[in-house]
Amino acid sequence: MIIAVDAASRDTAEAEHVLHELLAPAAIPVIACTHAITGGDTPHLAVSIAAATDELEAHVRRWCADHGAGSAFTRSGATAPDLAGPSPLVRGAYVAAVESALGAGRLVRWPGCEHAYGVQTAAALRAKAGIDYVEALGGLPVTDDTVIDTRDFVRPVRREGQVILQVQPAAGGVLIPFEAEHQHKCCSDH
Amino acid sequence: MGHSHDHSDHGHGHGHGHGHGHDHDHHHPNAELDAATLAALDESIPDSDLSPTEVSRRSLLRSAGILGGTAALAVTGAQAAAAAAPKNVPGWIFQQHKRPNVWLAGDHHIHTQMSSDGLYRVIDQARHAAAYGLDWLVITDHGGATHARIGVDLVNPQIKAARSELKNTLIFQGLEWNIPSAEHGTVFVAPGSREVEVLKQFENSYDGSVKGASGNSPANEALAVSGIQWLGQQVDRRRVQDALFLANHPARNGIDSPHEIRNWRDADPRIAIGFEGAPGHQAAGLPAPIGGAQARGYYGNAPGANSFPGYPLESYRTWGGFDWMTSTVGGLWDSLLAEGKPWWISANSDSHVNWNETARRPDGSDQAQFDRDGRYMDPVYGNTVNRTAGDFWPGYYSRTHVGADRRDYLSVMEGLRAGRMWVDHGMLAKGVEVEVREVGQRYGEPLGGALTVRRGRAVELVVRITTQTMPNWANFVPKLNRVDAIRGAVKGTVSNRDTFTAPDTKVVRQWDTSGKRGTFELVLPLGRAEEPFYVRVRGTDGNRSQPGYLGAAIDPAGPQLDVVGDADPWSDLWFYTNPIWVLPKK
Repeated sequence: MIIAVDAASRDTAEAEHVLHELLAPAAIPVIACTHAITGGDTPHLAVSIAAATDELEAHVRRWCADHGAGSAFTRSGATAPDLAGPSPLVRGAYVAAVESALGAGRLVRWPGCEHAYGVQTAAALRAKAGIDYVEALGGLPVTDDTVIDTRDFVRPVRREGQVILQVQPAAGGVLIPFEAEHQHKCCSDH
Repeated sequence: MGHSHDHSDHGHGHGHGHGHGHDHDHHHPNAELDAATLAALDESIPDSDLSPTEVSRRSLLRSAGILGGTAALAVTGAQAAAAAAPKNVPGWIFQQHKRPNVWLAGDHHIHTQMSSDGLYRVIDQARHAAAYGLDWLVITDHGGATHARIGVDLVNPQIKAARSELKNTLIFQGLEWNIPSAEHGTVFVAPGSREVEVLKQFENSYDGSVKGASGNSPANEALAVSGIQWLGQQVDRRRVQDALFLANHPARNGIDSPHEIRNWRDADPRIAIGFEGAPGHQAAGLPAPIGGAQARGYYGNAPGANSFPGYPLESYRTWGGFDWMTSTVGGLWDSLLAEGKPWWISANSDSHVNWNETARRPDGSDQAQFDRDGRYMDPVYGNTVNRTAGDFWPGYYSRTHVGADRRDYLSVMEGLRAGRMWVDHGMLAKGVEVEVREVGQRYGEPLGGALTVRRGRAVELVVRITTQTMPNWANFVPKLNRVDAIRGAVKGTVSNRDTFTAPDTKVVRQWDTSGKRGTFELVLPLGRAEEPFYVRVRGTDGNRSQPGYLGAAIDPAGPQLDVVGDADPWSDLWFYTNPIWVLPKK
């Protein structure tokens, strides 16, 4: 089933915190993503969880009720998703569920992510860490032997169900993930 | 000291985009549901009316049990892309026959202790700027609640004192505007009795942070347009003699969409004149252990919810130290020039805390003290070297050279508005004069100009370079090894205001200038003037090149994608000029 939650997260750190809380009780394999919700009045992020079982459902429903979040629960074969919460956030949850069903999003957890750490070759990331493609910025070539320093923070994107790790050149002749864990906030808004 | 650029835990921009070279039909990870998905969701459309892609999406969505929820999408209206597009835009505002009498180097993006992430007094910045060869500078502390309440007042006596201390240096007061719905920008005014009053009113009325208007929305985009128009009205009413706006680090977070840039420019082309071709923070990519080993320009972020979904990941990094909108031949900047819209580039320090600084804030000068007093206390000797600070002093690395009539405030502003400017890094060239002239004529149009010429007449580009004779501030004499000419057709207004390519623009000539000394001319015949076009020029030390973002046929040896943590700015030097247009007439 696909569970999608919109808690109006302002950035990926907040969205990943939501995912962390939603996933807390279960150790089941999931595909968990963040999704940019840009069609409403305030751009923000929602999250989705695709899992083979429904064991997270009760926990997520409670969490959403406690936090005033929007939610969408979908079961394969159902005629319509089960939507709940404040309407602007239901909208975001529905969008996230649609993207999840179409195999899109920014991945936080996926099968193999437990092996996506350290310094590895592109071939090893594909073989063990659930990565389908490694794609470099600026047309840089990526071969099986290309070394990728994951810096222990890997957030691939999901495109039509494929898991794509986008990388960029870094010091020492290695490639590192495009998305860094610690980014440079612009200066003024505090 | 761990202040200024260590805000990483806020995580401003994250997300994703898609890579270069992929087809653009697939669902955009950072966009919301595209047209094909919306069609697949709309059960009133029979399968037989859907494309194969849409049918396959519908079957995915049906098997997931997610059809039938589309009522949820209707709870809020979709954002209109160009909601704020101004009406009654003035057409051509080209300047002509304005050959400069003097070139004045400057920097329009400099912070002080009146910024919540700043360190220096005004006089610290101004004296260094003057010592490093700048003729003019703009003090641009961050807009925000504290600055609007008190900082904008506090900085003025410091600026006035610096003006009288440094008689030959032109010191403007400005601010770094949090553009509603977008990035930062420099706003500054001509000195006068009402400079503070106008800036303060502007900030209180139009700053995205003061007004809580940072996020993307049509209303916030409209507020930005209104702010630019308001500045124009203050000039019309003579409250200030002049005012200018330039967008800063435009591609850093992907939040300056192409239509916003067009809307700013069209809001009042006298006021909104350009953007940073190269951002500041050029020391940030210096490798460890001599530098902070971050992304050059602090361009290290990923897309967020407010980012324009069409921008590729490559746009979030610098290329040869320049912003992707400028460094891409045939890219966003060229798409404006190809519309015939004057829009200029600059290069600045964005100095907050400089590389190898030995000063620090005194004990007790913290955020609470700043919020209370509107400024940090004066810096003190820190008894250590800050190798991880990412900025250079104004004039130390980045320069914006403006061709002016005279050495005064209004002439600098007029030169900026006219686009008579070129920019360089590391003092790559001593002089760059460019003109386009009718063959056989002695004089033509300088940078920023438009040569009106009878249709069919032969025209030529003349690039007059004076090579550097003096060592730069890394104490070596840079070598200009190559100069490129770039040409594009002027096609007129685009229907899609989010256009960010100019398919007809490409590099048309590369000159090997290695070994040349003194002043020399490069002449490129431009053929007979039949249709309107423009040319612009760039040069490099030639140390780092790769095919341009749009391919080798467009730009065979453009700037290279900068390497995170290993971008020594001194071994990758470029200059860029603004364009000159050729407008054939009957």
